[in-house]
Amino acid sequence: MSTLRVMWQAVLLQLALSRRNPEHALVLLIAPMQTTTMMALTVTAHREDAVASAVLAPGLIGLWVAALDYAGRVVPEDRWAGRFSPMVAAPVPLGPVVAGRVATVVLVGVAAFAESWLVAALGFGRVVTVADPALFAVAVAATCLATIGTATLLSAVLVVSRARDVLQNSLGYPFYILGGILVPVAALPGWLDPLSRVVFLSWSAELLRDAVRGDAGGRLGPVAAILGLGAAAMAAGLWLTRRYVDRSRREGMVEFA
Amino acid sequence: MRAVLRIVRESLILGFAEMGAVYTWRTWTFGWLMRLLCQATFYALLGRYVGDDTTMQYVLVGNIVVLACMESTIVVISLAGERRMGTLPLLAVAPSGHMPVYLGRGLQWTVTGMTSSLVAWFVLPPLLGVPLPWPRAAYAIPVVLLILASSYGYGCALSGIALRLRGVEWLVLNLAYGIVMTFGGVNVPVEVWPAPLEAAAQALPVVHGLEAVRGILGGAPLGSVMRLLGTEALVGACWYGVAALSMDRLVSAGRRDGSLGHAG
Repeated sequence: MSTLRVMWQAVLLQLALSRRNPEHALVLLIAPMQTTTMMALTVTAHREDAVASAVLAPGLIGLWVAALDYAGRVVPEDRWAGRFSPMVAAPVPLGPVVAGRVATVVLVGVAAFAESWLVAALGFGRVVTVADPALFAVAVAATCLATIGTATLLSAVLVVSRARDVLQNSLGYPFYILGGILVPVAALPGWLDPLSRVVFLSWSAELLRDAVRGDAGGRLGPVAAILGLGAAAMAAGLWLTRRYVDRSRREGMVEFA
Repeated sequence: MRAVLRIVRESLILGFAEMGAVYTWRTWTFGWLMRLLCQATFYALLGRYVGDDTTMQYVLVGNIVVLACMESTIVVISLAGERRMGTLPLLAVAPSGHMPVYLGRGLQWTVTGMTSSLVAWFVLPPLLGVPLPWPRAAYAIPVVLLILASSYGYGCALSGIALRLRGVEWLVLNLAYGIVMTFGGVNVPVEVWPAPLEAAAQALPVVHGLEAVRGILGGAPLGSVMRLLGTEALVGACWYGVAALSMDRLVSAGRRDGSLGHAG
């Protein structure tokens, strides 16, 4: 079975599971509230130039929450539900299965962009237009791919770690700051800059803002950076997943809940 | 009274033992607490980005105080956990009755909530360059305790939803504190919202207590601060009333049809 076919089957499995689990749509609940908060602050401060950022940020947060929240659950939930053993026994590697399942939830996260746009338009009368739609579409697609790669890595790290809940609860806001998703990286202390550059969100946020404003020029670099960071995370995630599956088999821990 | 105090003590022991399965003091401090500090910082930076230092301080104070509310509403997860494990009937047959046991089930979150808020209160304002006016800032600390208490009642009341519609506890929790963070005067004054929304927001915990905190920091007259504190206490008492009613009905219906022990 080709890797893509495995991923597609994983997407179908995830759709079936998510239909019965409303908590997988958590991000769709958070995004409108965050947009309302950010828009209220921006509008009351009369900063019309920051409205686009206030609309884009909840979308990026939505993607990150979807990745972080669900990535950590895939293997533990499978263990509790008794799905993990047959998955490990199947003649396909687990990595692409995890990636496919996470991809489904991440794509739900994309709807957060639409939600925040709607909240800004209907709730605050601010219709954000995209000056460069082609670049915007490329930026969203690249960001989704990088999120899927990062989520695959997070899934493996969270399973290997003994502090899954701690990591899952802690890796949100520090990354929103480092990713410059609302306050640009340039406005943060200079010493954070090198750290920001290895977080794909920082490239995504800048590229999306540029696409909305239409002042993007020579944007191949940021797209390559987003895809490169996502690919590196995906490769590390697949490697780590293979390692813990092998270790679980070797040490007889597959059935451990 | 002694029986209630004993339940409070046992609830705290159970709650912290439960927390100990997830956190060590190091992972709590450098993981969870750091996350909360980053949350308050994130919104404070947004305040400075769109406004100035005054906006930043306004947003920072709101986001520090709301940490107490946020953590105390985690009682939703603790109570839903009892439902999931099918242990609600065991708690309901306690000799003291189900009410104090159920209401005490998330008390550990009030202790951590107060700790988080206090750490943020002392650390973040000087760190972000918007120091609070001391000693007035010290007088606001008991108000945070009151906000914590009223928020805990709010969390207990909303637990009723999570106990009835299973598998939605994270949605209920996020909705509970999300509504307070959005409409509760945390980032922008409540008066910004349309009149019906502003009126509805008066029923939320935090709103009046936070206004009292801002009043204390700004040197408002004692009378107006006391009035706000009274309103916050009244709002909290109403939420405890809703929680008691909701849990009472849950237990009596569960006893009648045997559904109290249904796990899920």
